[in-house]
Amino acid sequence: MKKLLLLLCAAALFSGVLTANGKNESASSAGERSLVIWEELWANSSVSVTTLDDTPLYKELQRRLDIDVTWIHPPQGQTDENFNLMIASNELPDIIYRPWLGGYPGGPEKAISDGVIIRHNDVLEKFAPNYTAYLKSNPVAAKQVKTDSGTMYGFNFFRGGPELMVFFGPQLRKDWLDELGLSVPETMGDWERVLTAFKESGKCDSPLGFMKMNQDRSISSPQDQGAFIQPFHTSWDFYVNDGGKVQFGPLDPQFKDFLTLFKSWYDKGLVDPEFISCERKAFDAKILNGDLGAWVSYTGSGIGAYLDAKRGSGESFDIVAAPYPVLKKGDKPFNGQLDTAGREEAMAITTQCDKVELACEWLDYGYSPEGIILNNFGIEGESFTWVDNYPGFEGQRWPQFTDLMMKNSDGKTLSQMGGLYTRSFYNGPTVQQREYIFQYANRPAQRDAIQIWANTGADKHLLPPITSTPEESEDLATIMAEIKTYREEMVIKFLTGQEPLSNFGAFQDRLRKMGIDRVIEIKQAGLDRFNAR
Amino acid sequence: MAGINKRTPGEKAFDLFNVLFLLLLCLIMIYPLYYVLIASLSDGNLFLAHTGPLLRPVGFSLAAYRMVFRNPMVVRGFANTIFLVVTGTAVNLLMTSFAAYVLSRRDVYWKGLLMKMAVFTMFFQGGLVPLYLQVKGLGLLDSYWSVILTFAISTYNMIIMRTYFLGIPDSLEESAKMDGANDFTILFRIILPVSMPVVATMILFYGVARWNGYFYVMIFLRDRVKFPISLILREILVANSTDTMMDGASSGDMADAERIGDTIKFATTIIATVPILFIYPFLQKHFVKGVMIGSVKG
Amino acid sequence: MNNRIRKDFQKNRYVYLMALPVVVYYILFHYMPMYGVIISFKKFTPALGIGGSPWVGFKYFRDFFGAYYFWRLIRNTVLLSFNNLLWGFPAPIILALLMNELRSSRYKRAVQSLTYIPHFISVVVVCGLLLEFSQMGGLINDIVSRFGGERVAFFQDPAYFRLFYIGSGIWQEIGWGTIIYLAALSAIDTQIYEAATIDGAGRWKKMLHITLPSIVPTIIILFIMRMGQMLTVGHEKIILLYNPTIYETADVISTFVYRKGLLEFSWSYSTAVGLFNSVINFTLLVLTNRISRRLSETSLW
Repeated sequence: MKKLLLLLCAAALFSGVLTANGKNESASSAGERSLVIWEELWANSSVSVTTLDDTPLYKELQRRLDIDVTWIHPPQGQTDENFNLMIASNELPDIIYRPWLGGYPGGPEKAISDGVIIRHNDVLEKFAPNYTAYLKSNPVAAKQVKTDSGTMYGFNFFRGGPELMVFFGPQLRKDWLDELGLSVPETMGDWERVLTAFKESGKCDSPLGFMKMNQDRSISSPQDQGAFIQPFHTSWDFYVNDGGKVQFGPLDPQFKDFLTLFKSWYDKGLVDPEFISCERKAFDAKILNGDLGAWVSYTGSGIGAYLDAKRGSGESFDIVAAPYPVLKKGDKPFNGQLDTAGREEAMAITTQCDKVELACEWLDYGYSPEGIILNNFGIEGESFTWVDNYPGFEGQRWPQFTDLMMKNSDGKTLSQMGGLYTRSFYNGPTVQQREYIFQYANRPAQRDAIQIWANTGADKHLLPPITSTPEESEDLATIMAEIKTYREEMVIKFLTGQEPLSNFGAFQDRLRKMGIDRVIEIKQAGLDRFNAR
Repeated sequence: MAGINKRTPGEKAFDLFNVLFLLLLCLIMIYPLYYVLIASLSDGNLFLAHTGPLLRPVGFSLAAYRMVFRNPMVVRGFANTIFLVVTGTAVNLLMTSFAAYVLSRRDVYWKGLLMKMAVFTMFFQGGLVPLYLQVKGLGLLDSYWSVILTFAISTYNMIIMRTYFLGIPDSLEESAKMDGANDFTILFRIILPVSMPVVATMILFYGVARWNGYFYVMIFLRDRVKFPISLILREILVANSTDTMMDGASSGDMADAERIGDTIKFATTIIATVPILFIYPFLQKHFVKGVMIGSVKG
Repeated sequence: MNNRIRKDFQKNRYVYLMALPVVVYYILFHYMPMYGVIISFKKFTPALGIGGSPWVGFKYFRDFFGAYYFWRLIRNTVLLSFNNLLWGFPAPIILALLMNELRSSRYKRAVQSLTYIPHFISVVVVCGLLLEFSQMGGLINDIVSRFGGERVAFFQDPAYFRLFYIGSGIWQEIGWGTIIYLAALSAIDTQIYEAATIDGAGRWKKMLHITLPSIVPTIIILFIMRMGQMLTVGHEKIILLYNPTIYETADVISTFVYRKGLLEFSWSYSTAVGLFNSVINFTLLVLTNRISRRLSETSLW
């Protein structure tokens, strides 16, 4: 007992010393030229550093601008909860990085009227020449980062080229297709034949798998366009029909057609029985183990990562991208994944920031020519060098990543290095450049994928980043919280047979009772205002 | 139980069943942890391909442990946890013995009210958001003191300690009182030294809770540098529910790192679990004395 | 009367000095947050603070009672709690009695130590392992299929949630739960057993008439405390385990409060639901205590 106490005292002293050494200045900014920023730390960065302050990227930025930044990073997987409590406590840092449309109930206008962040228009005009210049020369992107009333809510993230906006779609095991003499499926009929062939040839038990995206989405993809729902000209969530009207997919009669077909696949054992709850890691494991023959995923963390993981394993393993499926051969896919140039993620200055000009100086740098290079490729001579003979782009001045990035001797992956030297590998207050994606996703299969998935009607049928008024958003929040849970549960029950499809009508009635029509009305109004911007 | 009497066949059968049943139970208790241990020592690829129960590591490898210790958060998290556990448990012990002592006095006028006040909180709480606002109001956010003080007394534990104190014969302290000792002296010099079993119990109860506690730490702390190991373990174990949409084209790739991902998970689990297991043998002797609690009778 | 209080203060001044930090603690960290529950009658806006936010009366309570999922939340909470009580409560008692019957004290100690181990494991780890083991290709399914059963995606089927939740809870706490009973058992005078033996009582009779009655007061007290938590099912474990597919059985009041309060910015709503929960708990506690006092003369206060 005594020994234990002694031991504990020693340990406490020791750890006290350690923690004291590691103590950061508290959240309140101390010096004149210092800022406090709240942002979730990207998982690939958190492998090597505890705060962005320790990355070469931000050390370099600190050197260039002489502004001290203290970062507050919430625990991973707790970002929303932490943000919520921070707002409730009304104790804000100088700058918050968030996806403001989806990440703040009611959106940016509400965040401004709640007194969380400032309206940025005047500030940008006055103190952010680079940012303003970028918006002027990119009117489409500019429209996407403003609210209906023209309010700007921060320094947004931009995708600087069409190649950067398509990155998600259906993929299949190419080696299996070749072996069985099948071609890449186009129609839903093709898909069924291919999946059946995979199953019957004994390649795997249930070939089609899905990854759980987060609590809200399971059988749907980014922008809420389930690849296998869209062939029926409907959607998991809201979409815009050919007449320019907002629709809620589950209310469509053809949504039942999707349920019927998908259920039959499920019953035939073509779909992974764990398709709802399969988390990322389990999903990856299934693909690498050959438990799946087809899935929907990313170019980088999908195709690239899987090919990487299997490289040198000696097993046959190849992936091919398939076009978004259609019902009739030759049709153009109704919908697909397509990101916007102007993204909702933005560094927003809070109402409690008393150094607005300084904040702008720091943030605006990310949109200057040097800032864009720094944020996309890192430090010249260290993480990249300028070349003019990059394969496929000969004769162009090309920022090529060095071996430090591409073949790290420390065993770090490219993304992990990207997390140390750049923001282009994820997102941030800058303009993402295509040179990054061509080096990150540089396999032919990946480049083809981008081409293939780009050919959809997504530009017409995806709901653009619309905003709602504070009153509307209150309605939206209360109604949609219940609807989302209900829809998720019911659709899954229909698909797995826990609820007979004959109850589909009752399901739709219940949605109406829960107030879906009001939501559609709000979304429509938002779309009309967006189009009128 | 002591019995010199002969066992009947029925009793023999029961004894045999009892021994075997408890053996099976022990296996069930221990296997999952054993599985984690051998999985953490396995080769990532082989482990991924393996199905069915494991009895020994598949392809011995320490790669997972190397990866875990390369994570700067892990080492720091460890130091943070030790600080949190030691300081927190010390505060717990001090406050709980104060409360237990006060409530075990026989002739204190406000005792009944104090007891009611404490017990009421076991069943009636303000809720998370009001608690958060209160902690913020006290200026404790982002400080270890937020968790240390918020959970300074577990009323349940306090009642156990009080019950133990009640069982101590009055005669012990009478003589000290005669000598003019005040209540602090009585508590620290007389009561606590004869209460080692319950003190050990408290150390164990509080220590384990402090060691494993992650939820309120997650809520109250902001600075990643301060995170304890339990929270880092949570980050590693609970698949990142970060919105993949945000990561876009470039959400994490895997290559080597991901291939041993599963074993990393297990290695972290071992690292975060084994140390607290070692506290038990130190305190076990006091438990085995058995006199611990008597009963929780209020 | 006044005189008595003054005298008491005089005599027990050190006791009250000792009580001071304790009282301050309870006020600061329990009673002040209780004051905070008034936000359940207000529309809490951070910028205005608790005091400045406008009153809305019982709006959030009405919202909750009228919510589509109200009855399901109540049902799930009660069922989970009830099943937990039904299976989880007797488990350590039975184990303690079994351990008490072991003839080798060394084996008994070994069983004790081994069954304690899961208690030390973090709930995060327990849930992580549970999810891992219950996957289609996981350990549990491997065993099921070895015995000819069909593989099941357990955490996708609402039917299994309670089983896993309660089973893992028992796994983790059964050994630890015996401590309290073993302590009570060890206090029994061995002479009573000897006397019973002389009277010709068998093991079973002794267990029934001596061992069990001696721990009944402990059982009752623990039972009353459990009752006071009938409507409290902690959110931490469930949040680590559930997904929308199994909300049907897994979504309980505390997880609902968590989602409302920490994800949907509905602080007032969340607090209102929490308050409702507390009130019911407290009522249950008082009721059980009263019944117990009448029936068995054992009570919490």
